[in-house]
Amino acid sequence: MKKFKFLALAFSCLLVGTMFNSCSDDDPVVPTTFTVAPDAGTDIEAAGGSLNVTVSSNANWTAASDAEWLTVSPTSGNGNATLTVTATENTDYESRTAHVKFNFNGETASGSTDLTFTQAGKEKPAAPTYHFDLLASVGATTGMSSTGVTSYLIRSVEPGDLVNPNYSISYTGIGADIKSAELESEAVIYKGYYYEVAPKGNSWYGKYLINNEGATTIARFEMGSSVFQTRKYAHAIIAENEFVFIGSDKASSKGSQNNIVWSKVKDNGTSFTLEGEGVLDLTSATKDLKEGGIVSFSTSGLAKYRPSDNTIIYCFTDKATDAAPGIYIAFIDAATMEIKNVINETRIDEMAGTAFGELQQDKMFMDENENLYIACGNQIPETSKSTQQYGRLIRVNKGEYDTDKNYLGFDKYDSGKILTVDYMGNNKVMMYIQDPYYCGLASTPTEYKGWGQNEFNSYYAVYDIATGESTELTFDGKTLPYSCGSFTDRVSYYNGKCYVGTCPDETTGNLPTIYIYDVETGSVTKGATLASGFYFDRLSVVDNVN
Amino acid sequence: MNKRILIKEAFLLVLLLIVTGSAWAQSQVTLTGTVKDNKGNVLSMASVSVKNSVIGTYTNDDGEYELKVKSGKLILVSQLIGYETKELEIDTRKQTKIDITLTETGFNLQDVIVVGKSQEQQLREGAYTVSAVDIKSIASSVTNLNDLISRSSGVKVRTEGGLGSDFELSLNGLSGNSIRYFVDGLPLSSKGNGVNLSNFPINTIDRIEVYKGVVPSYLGADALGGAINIITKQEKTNFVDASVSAGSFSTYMADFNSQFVLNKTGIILRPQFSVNSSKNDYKVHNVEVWNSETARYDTVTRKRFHDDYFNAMVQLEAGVQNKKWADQFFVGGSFTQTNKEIQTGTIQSIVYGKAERKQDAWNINMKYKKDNFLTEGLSLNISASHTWDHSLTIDTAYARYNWNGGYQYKSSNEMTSRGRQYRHYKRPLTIIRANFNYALNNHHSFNLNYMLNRTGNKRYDTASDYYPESEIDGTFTPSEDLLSKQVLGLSYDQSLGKDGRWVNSFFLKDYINHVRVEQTDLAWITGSNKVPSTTTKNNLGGGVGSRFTIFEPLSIKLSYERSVRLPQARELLGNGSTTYPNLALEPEKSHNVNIGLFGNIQPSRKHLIYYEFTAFYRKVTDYIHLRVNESDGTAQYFNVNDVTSKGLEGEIRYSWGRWLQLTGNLSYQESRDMERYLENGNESATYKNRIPNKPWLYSNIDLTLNKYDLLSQGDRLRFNLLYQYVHWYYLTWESYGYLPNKARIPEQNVFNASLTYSWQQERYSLTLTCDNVFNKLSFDNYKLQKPGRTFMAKFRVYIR
Repeated sequence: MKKFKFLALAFSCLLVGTMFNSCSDDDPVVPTTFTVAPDAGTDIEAAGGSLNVTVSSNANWTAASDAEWLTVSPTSGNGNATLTVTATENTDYESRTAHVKFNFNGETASGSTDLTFTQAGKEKPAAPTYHFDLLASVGATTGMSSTGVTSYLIRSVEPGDLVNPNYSISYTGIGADIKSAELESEAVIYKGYYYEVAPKGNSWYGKYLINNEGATTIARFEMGSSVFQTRKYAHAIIAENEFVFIGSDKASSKGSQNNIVWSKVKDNGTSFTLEGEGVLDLTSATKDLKEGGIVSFSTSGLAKYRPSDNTIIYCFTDKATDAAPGIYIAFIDAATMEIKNVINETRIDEMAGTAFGELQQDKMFMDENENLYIACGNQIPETSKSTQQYGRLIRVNKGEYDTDKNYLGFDKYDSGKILTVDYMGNNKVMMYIQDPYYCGLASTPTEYKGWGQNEFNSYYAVYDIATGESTELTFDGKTLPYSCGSFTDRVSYYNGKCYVGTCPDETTGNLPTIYIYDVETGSVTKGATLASGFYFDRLSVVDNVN
Repeated sequence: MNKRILIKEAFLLVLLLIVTGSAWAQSQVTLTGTVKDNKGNVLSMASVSVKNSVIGTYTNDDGEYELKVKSGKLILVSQLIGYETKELEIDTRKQTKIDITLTETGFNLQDVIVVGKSQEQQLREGAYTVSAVDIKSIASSVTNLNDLISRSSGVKVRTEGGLGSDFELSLNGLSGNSIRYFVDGLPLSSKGNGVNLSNFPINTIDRIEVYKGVVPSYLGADALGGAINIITKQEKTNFVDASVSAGSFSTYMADFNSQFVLNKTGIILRPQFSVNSSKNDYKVHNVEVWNSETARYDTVTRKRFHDDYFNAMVQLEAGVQNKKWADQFFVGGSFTQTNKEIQTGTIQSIVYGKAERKQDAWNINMKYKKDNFLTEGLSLNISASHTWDHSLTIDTAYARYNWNGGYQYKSSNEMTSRGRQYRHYKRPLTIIRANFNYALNNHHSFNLNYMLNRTGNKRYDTASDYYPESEIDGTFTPSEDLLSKQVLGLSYDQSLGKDGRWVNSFFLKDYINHVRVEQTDLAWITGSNKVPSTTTKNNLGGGVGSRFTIFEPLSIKLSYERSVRLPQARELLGNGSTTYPNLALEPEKSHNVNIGLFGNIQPSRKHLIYYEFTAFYRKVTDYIHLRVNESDGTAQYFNVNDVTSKGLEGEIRYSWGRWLQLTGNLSYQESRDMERYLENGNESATYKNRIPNKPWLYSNIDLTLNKYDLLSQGDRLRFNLLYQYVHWYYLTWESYGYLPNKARIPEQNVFNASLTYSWQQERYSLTLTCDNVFNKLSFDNYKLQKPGRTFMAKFRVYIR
């Protein structure tokens, strides 16, 4: 269509010249002609490029583009010529147009004409298949009511916004109020949904969709004979949409007796099936390790599924007053839930944390070779409190039913308590480390100072399993501001990038900020910031739900 | 117990007794007489006072009064609303029996504010923000005291359910431990922890005084947000007052209250008995039950099935009145027993079927009162009381109940998901109160008040008597705390100008808190290394109140108090398991300011309008707040700075003669989080946000119609309609999250109606009440439904 228009234009110019010509047939004057014709149309690809335009004329002419992105060359001439029109890359998604205007001046006529060039827009990328959920708490410390007034808020943020340093993440009028929805902030996040067992003391397994407008219940199923306690359970995903929950039948166990119960729950989309449940007979299984066996178990413990031999690896501690040092690891057949073996690991004092069974914090990870690493801690010598720890990693190798006694990770460091671990591939682990001495809050490594969960005593470091070296994360040549929060996990690894959130001292002018660590290059870029005044508790990558 | 403190207390007590035992005051003239109307009918509750003085009294139900005055010439004033005020000039040297006749003005205002207070009290309280709810005149019509108090402006009672359910009363935005409860000036807890506003025998009450914010020093309380003082009836003659009630949800109540004067000895016996019981099996709607066939939850309506409540109280007082050595001397004892089943947790979907709570308390007490003690104008009032209070929470069932009434076995108990519990709390309580009031002259009086309050708190568990070791809750450790506090108050009241148009009150309170702590473990948490094991802390508070009457339709009230609330044993010492002690805890302190305007407008003879508008401001520092560590469920009390509450309330009452009374009030409260910084030093996102889960706008409209002499002379038909409105409010912080989907406690619109017919001068009365007439779903707490339409019938006999 456009081409036809230009040809018609060229024809009319020619006609104009002829008309003038016919008025004076005394002189042998050659009538002025001027035609322009694109060689290969006027459409240009988004990436940019050149097109040729042929000018057929016996006159002087000029050519000029009215847009910066389109250039024409040469811009003037006499007689026939071939012009090159060049477009730069179009970085917008929208197409754009520009005109090249020709002026000619011949003996019998002069005039102008123009050509319109259209450049396609950049191809629109496919919509992302994931987003980020940021959990923050508000109002934790105050109120006149005897009941707590803490609100937990979950806010979904698009990947493009999270990496945008100019983007500010607010909770005002947006996000899911978890307390309003009668849910717990601790949950299993899987394929875009949140799974909770016994939220707010209720009697069900629940599946919820959480977005910026709140929480929607997708499915619920009544707990059977295995009754779990709110937030106090570990989980393992043993097949697609199939969960094993393991936890205490009592809310507290310190010095008291409890059982560890389990259940297998299958998610069928909008309903659940209870595939099995029972009691883990850990008391009998630990008779060789402790006289009479263990009767007082940590309430949640940590669980991970090892696919190659269909085994659930379950870590727990003895909470009796006469407990032996160290932790216990049970190897459970995921098909039968029979205990294959239990070992006592005594090289470390305790696990890095078991309170919520990895519902809130990542405390263990599996590498590409199915070796399981567990973050642990030892009390720093000559300290007054057992929570003053330095971190260690222990390892259960693929196919083994015991820890690797030749391996002890993070052993080059005698300070720094490992709070969370996120495996990024290629032997690289993002660690969130609490260390008041390192962060300048305590004057000696043994002083009991600066260990509170509201003190800015933690930093991020990349730990290399192969070399045993830990390197603090830096941005722009400077270390990131130190963060507070002992029960937080603001680290998420996804597709070659690790997203790390800080919760800094805002009085120094810093806001909670997302930093993006590129695993391949090791470079760090700055992303979005969080509105001030919140406790930034968790950053998770969540699949989009269609 | 610190020896020094013990000695101090003992010394003071002995001193009081010695002083009490010594010489009785000089002779005085006692005026007696009867107040009647033109027709010769006796008038009760008429004031009889000496003009320009603080001396005065009220007539009893037979119209009689008794007043001790100085001998000489004076002007006697008698007043009663609805009658013209009468002044009589008399000379007591010539005449001591003076009968007074009052002329009706044509209207009869049942003004609940001024009814039934002595002149002394009026002088003292006149400057404070106080509303007195008159119970005596409407006792026949009332079946629930909480409901009645809730009608006052600025007062909100949030209940969890039916009869005997837990409730929280808030006064101008402060609630819980900030509010103190008294019976005749003695802490209500002396009756036992099982006794509260919801089960206190109504027939025994004369009136209830509600002090908002500023609490007079003679109550001797370390209250922060106000106080509620129940005043019981003091009759002089024999009487029997008995009532029975029955109503919906198998609710039965009986009250027996009487007084017998033994003719020979003049000894007065006051036996009292009351019992309340209910099944509380009202319907709850939209509850879920699991349907295993469809594998879904069905939404259904069910009756509550584990909410039985039983409460009984027996009391006997014996003593003498109007003796040379005592105006009043009584000794008494009481026993209360409360059994309560527990149906739900904090949300309706958590159902219990076996857990229950039992409370019993024995009490012995004495009270002594003497006017013109040692010297003229000095009156003495001493009370002492000891209570053996015991409560037991039984949570032993390994079961998870559902709304069908069925259950599933689980291997932990119902409420705390731990081992089986048979938890005992023993809280022995000793209270000693001594009050001296000295009227210097007609315009100035002084009051000195001392209150000792010593509480123990012993916790232990006896589940091991019934269950194997493996099943009892091993996480519990027994504990025993002891806490003693003393409050010394001194106040000065003055009445200036003609007819006391300007009344001022100044007071000082000294709070002494004594704690002894043996434990020294976990010092980094409890702060026990920062404070000595035995501490005695002194805190000074005080305030001022002023009332100025410009003219009858307009008076101004202004009061201010710097008040202190001492930490309780639990707050300081923890609970021995999940709540850690915080020995460095400071007392809560607050600035309370009230400004009020009130007055009477009488457009014509039979019409009367009373109005009152109050603005208040409370700023609490070192607010004691329970901080829960979400990671392990442990908690500790901390001082939090800056919680403020301010608000406005207004009430207008209109009466048309004695036939109609219409009251409307509206309360608006602004409670905002004024804590600017988070624990980590960052500025808080909730700074200046409205505190969630608190009603902030509510209103009552109360209409009473009376018809007299309907079927016979002296009968009365009374109709009352109450409309209560509460604006909806958010459960959580209102600024954050997507608002349309945030949880709200919905708006409440509830109508209650009652019809009372009484005959033979209120000797017999029959009342029918219908609460929640339109059977609306109503909630005070998130998703905890209150009863639907409730009928009650009450029959009362009052023989004098």
